[in-house]
Amino acid sequence: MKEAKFVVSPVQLFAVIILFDLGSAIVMNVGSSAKQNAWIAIAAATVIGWGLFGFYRMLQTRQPSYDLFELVRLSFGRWLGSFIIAMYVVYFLYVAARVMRDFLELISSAVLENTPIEVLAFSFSMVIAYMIWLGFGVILRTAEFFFPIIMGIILVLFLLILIDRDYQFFYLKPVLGDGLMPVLSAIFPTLITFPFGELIVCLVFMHYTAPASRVGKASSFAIGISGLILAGTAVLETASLGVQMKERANFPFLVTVRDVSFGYFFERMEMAVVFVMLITILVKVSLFLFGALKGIEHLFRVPYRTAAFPIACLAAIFSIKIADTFAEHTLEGLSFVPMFIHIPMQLIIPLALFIILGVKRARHR
Amino acid sequence: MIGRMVRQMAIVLILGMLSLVGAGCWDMRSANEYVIVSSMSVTTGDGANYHVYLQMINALEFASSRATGSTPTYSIDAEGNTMDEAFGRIERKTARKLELSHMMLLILDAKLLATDKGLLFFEFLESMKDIRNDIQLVVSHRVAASEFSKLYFPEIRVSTVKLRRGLDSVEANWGGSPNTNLKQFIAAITSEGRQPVMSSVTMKLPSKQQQSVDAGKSTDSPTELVIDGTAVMRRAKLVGFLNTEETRDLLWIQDRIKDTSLTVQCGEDQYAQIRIGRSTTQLNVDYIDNRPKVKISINVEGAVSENQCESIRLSKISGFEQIRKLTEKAIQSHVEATVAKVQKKYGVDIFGFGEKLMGDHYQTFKIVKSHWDDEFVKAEVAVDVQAAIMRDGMISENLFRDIPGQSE
Repeated sequence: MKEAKFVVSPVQLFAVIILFDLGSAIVMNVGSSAKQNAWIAIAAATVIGWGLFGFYRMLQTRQPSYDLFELVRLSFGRWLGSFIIAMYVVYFLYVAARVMRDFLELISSAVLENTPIEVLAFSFSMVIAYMIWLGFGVILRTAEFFFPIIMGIILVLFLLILIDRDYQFFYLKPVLGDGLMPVLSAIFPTLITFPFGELIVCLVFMHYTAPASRVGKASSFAIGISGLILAGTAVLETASLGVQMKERANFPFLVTVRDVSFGYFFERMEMAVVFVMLITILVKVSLFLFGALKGIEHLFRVPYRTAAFPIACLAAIFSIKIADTFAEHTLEGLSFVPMFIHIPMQLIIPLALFIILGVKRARHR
Repeated sequence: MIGRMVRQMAIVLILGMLSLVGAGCWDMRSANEYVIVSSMSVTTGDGANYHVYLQMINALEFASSRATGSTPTYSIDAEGNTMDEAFGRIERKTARKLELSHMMLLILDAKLLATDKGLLFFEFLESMKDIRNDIQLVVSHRVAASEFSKLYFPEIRVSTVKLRRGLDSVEANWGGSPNTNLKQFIAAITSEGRQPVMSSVTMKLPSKQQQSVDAGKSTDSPTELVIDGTAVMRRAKLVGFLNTEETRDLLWIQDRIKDTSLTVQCGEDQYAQIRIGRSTTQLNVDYIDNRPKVKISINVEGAVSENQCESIRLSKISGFEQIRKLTEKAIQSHVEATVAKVQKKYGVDIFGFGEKLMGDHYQTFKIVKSHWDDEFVKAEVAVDVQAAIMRDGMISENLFRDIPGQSE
């Protein structure tokens, strides 16, 4: 069951975390309930997310060679532990399907209108299954390879939006006009769970990271930078679309970039956004699928490569069946899922793990 | 060995099938299935809500080797209760699909904007992925919107392009048109502190001749396109028009003036012309004693381009001082008059004072936002103009002074 040893370098971790955080969050309308203060909400959520990830890391350093599932089994025992691992498997699979659906919605409403969604879902999940089948290192190297390209595209898009001058920073006012409540309700539960809390899936591979001393720095910078990019996108979206239009848009970043016209040469840049979405979601879905497969490995002793293709097919089907309409998808994804699925899996169970591990260690002494 | 070959062949076969199936033929588009739409004119229909005229490009005329001198654009119309229904009917007439992403102008008939359902189809415009947000909106003033899709001008053969360039140039060089694209219009119509405007266009002497390619054979074109100012709206309804001079005041308040030129009177039937090259406006809106208090500070920089006045000698410091005062007065009184006219006659805040109040004094604005337009009517507006007129062409002294017997 032990496969070839590989280590996750700090650079790879950095790239993976940034792409993971941007995945779907950069295009979907996150934090829009805070209106013109969405960027404040995102910035605050980044700080909280950074703390949350620090907590996950602390959990990991309690047993440095253990992954999430081994920690669960260690602290909850054989039967309850297996049950919780099964819950995580379903959870990761479910989130993978949700995220994949974000991408499918974008593709089928903005690019390939007439292509059946099944074809899109299966071709996408086959690529991911193939990546996982080649080994976890491939996911990391894919992320590492695409990272500079994605950062370059985002930088160019930001610059073009700024050069185009079709924005009014005036739309960002009034700052905190309705008090802190709208911002807080945007942060909790939506923003800290999506995208930052979803980093819990990193616990599945965190024990591969080396050298351990630089993990903290790499991950902190990654979360900070991804939060900066997300907040920056929110600022540009609000300034160029206005609050109401941003709130109405299904993919506000796409709409913002669509209008950019620079020198009659840089036009119709939305395909660049679709590409950013494609790569970031590729990374995100493959990490979640890898998490689910690792859980299956723990539960049923099936090597994760063997299960990669069938489980990827399952994720593709789930992503289609998860919602009948776009409205159902976004409503569930942004109101129901954070409260009733993300919070228990990202906060409550890790907290329980932390307490049990602490108690166990104290008893050992 | 053989087993391996079979496996390899199987992989090649599977990959081939996958690329066939997965290649995405569903969204294949080829150019000859499409006809390019350049503009869209909408008016009320007889049998349905909307009557749509589309101006389409006859692409063959633009391929230099295959141009035959026939018309470069043509117009096809249909009615529909939804915009997409009308488009569908037009598609049945053209026998091709409509390529909407190059549409640059949406011309709305004044008749349509008088009804309640005038702008319901904007939902389609906003959510349709092919229609870009930078499509310009204009209102046809005094003529039917459909007329604009049928014109031919020899210098720019697609009349939509001529109109669009005209709008851009009038706004940039004179400040006479409040160019509004779809995004800006939607931002204004959904704003709590501002009412939307659009450019207004009209035609002098609409004629059948201008609808023919033969119009290019005459040096005197019978019909003229005129960009004549602003259409003032109350949400989705048209309430009136402002002429180009008043439009400039609107743009002045909104800090959108780039270049303009001002005629000031400096004596009995004597005028001077000032070219403004730079202008910035600062807006201050507050709410004091139950009425909004608006302070508009305009800073302009310019030069005298023509001075017909005997009394003003631009070789002296006092001459520039006089011109400066006249300019400031002219701008100030004109801007004040325009605001007063909009307050009295239309009663809608097209200037965005409410938005400014919202940005700076949000708590106050929350109290008055439900009836902001009534508050706007009560607003006390003070305009303060600072002009810097620095030079006057190559020769400062007026030549008329040297004509014997002309001056004192």
